[in-house]
Amino acid sequence: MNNITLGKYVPYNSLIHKLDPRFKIFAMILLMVGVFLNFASIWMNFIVYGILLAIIITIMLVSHVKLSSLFKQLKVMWFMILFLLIINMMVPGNPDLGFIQITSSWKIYLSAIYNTLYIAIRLVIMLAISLVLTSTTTPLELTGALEWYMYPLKFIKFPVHEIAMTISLALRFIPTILEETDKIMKAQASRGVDFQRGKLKEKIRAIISLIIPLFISAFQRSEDLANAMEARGYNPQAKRTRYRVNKWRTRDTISLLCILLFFTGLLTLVFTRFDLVVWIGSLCA
Amino acid sequence: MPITFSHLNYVYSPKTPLEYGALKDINLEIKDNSFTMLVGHTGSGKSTLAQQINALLTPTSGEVNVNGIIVDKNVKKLKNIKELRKGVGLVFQFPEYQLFEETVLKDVSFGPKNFGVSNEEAITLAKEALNLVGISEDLFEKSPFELSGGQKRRVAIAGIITLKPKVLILDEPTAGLDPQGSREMMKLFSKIHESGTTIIMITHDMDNVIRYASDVVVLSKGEVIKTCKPYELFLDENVFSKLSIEEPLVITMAKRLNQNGYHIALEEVRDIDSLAFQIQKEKKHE
Amino acid sequence: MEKVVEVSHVQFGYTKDKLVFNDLNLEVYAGEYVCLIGHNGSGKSTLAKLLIGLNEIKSGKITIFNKELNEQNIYDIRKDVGIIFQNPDNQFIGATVRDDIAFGLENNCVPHDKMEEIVTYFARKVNMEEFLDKEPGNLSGGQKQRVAIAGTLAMNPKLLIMDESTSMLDPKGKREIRELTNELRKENKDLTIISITHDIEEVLQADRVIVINQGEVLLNDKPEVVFKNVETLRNIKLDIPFSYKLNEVLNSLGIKVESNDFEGLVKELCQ
Repeated sequence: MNNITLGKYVPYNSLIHKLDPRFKIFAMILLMVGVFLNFASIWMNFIVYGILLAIIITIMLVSHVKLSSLFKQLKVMWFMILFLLIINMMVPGNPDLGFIQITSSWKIYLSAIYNTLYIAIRLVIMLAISLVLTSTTTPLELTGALEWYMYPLKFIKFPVHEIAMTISLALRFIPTILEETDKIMKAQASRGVDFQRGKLKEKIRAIISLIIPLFISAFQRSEDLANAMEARGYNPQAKRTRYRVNKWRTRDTISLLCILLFFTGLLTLVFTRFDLVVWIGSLCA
Repeated sequence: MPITFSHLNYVYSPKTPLEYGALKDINLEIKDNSFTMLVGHTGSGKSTLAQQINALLTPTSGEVNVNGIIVDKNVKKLKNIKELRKGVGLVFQFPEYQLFEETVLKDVSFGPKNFGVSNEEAITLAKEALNLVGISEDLFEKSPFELSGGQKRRVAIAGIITLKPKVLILDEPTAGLDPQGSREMMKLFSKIHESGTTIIMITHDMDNVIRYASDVVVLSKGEVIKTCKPYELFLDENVFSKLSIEEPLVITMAKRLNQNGYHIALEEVRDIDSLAFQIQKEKKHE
Repeated sequence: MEKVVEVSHVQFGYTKDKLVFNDLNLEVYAGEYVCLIGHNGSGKSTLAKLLIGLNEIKSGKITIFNKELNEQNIYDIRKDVGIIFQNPDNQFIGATVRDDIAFGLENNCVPHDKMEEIVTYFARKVNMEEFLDKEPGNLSGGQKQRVAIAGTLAMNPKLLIMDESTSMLDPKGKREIRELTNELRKENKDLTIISITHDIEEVLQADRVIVINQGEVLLNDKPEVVFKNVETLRNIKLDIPFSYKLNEVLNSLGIKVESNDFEGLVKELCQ
């Protein structure tokens, strides 16, 4: 149960940790959009991806997010990427980019390989970005920032505060419930339940013997929790002040300017169809 | 059956930043038919130690030998885990959380059926166990969730003793019960012990320790720091105050009287009645 | 003396046909330390929930600080009443110690710039200052209960209800909470405490003991008077303090003793 550490918050006193979570979410979205932009040529795409990757790795180093944790997440991806490659090779691609003739009736288009590579790189970059976000921002900060973004929804009577409170309570109780799952599994194992082996019928019984106690205890917990919250004066309809307030600091403004500048740069490249390879070629000529 | 720990180490989440040595070089023998109590701080490793005995946790190194079945780090390959768990019953803290069947009787017979006993026989065994723990027949067909807290606990305990284990491990079985409930519970375990079952109990309640234990194992920071007779815990002020164990009032009283000229043998003091009896004996001598 | 709690002719039941209380009457006065005892299922914890309006009574009246408890003023009354429940995990609301202590302050609309100071002050008071950023998973039961107490005290209650708040703790945790309660009483003589407990030695420290059985007040007096009723208490399966029990057994063995307290017994036996 303890191996669910992927994407978990890792406390560290780095600049990235200290940045405002609202900024971090915004930056994440911009970078992810950046990954999906289509530039003037294949080579240009790879150059931009390279730059993005370099930036993200730098950020990971600065915020002490281990590269190894990224590789761990990627392990699951290999199979998917391979699968994509095979699919891409089956379908006809763009013959302009060249192809390899395998048999008289079957050729592998280079575009298939490029397409797979694009997707693979995009996946890696997106995983890395979200890893940085979740490793440097506590779930609580994330919830707070999301609540801030959802603020406009309040005007259409959307229960923004209630949803944010529910999410943060759920986050608070995840470790408790995991611990409980472990305990119930052990208790049932003592009564001869085998969670690993057995026929389908036995497996179903084993799972029932885990799920029912878990639900019963979760209901008990939620009742207790509701009582405790009410007793401390919680009233979902009433106005509350906030203990955790995000303070926007100069460093957030500077970071925001940087990321906007970078993104504008990317957009300019897209719209001007600027191609570095062609440009260098023209310089040499 | 005797249980022998030799050079047993246990590490939680090895090779991660959370790595934590919960048990360090445990060498221990738990005697056949003893009523052994494990005492120590919360987090001293008592529960971790108990769970090694029926292979819910397996040693990182070293082994525990339960009547010839050896539990070590390779135990997962062993076929006789089930046999082991049938012989060693473990009742967790707040065991009422493990109830899940529609009726009390079905819940108690769940265990035997898992171990391959026929349905009919399992029901017979379940009824026997429920009688032993004092659950009356009119509750057999009720849902376990309709029972009171104390009754739920009894049903959960019946779910383990119906397996007729030779070793019964109990992790703070009286926690959260009212005084009357916990007294009755202790009487039940005493009865099970007398019928020839080895009992290993994790507890914080020192009154129960001096009253029922035949042997005491003291754990601190994952190590066995003392194995002794119950009264010996309170001979050395340094040991029990350092462990933040509370001295039972009967012992405190006996000690106070001894300071004032009495000669009460502490090993004879197990509860109020035996203390009063010792005082009476002293008075006669005068 | 000022009446803090007045329960009169209260009728309550969770289901229609089974009543927990038929006609419950009791009073608690300002500054008192009252222990409520009774075996599991006697209705003690139900009473605690009624006092902070978590359940609605069928008939009768509950008055707290001279205000009759009803739907309109319930949030007002809760500002003056704090309660600590039994399960340390299930009343830990915040993600960290800090957030948990601040939870009640947020509800009471304490301005943000004052919160930090209050949070730190009460964390220090319950000796949890160094754990401010810890999550509940890394705390012991006793520590979690101390945080719950800090979170409640931060709301500045005039009445503190402890609903078996030590029953799930180990002896060390129990001791910590007991010492903390004693300290609070010493510091603030106006604080009224109602403690629902099984810890019979704690009951001896109380100003008054109320014994509840089958939804009714059976005994209501100073501890030394209540525990004289050994037979009554035994009949309803309640515990009797050590020194009272020893006194009884010694007398039955023909050793005449008068004292009902530990030191008195030592003295008498050593004459």
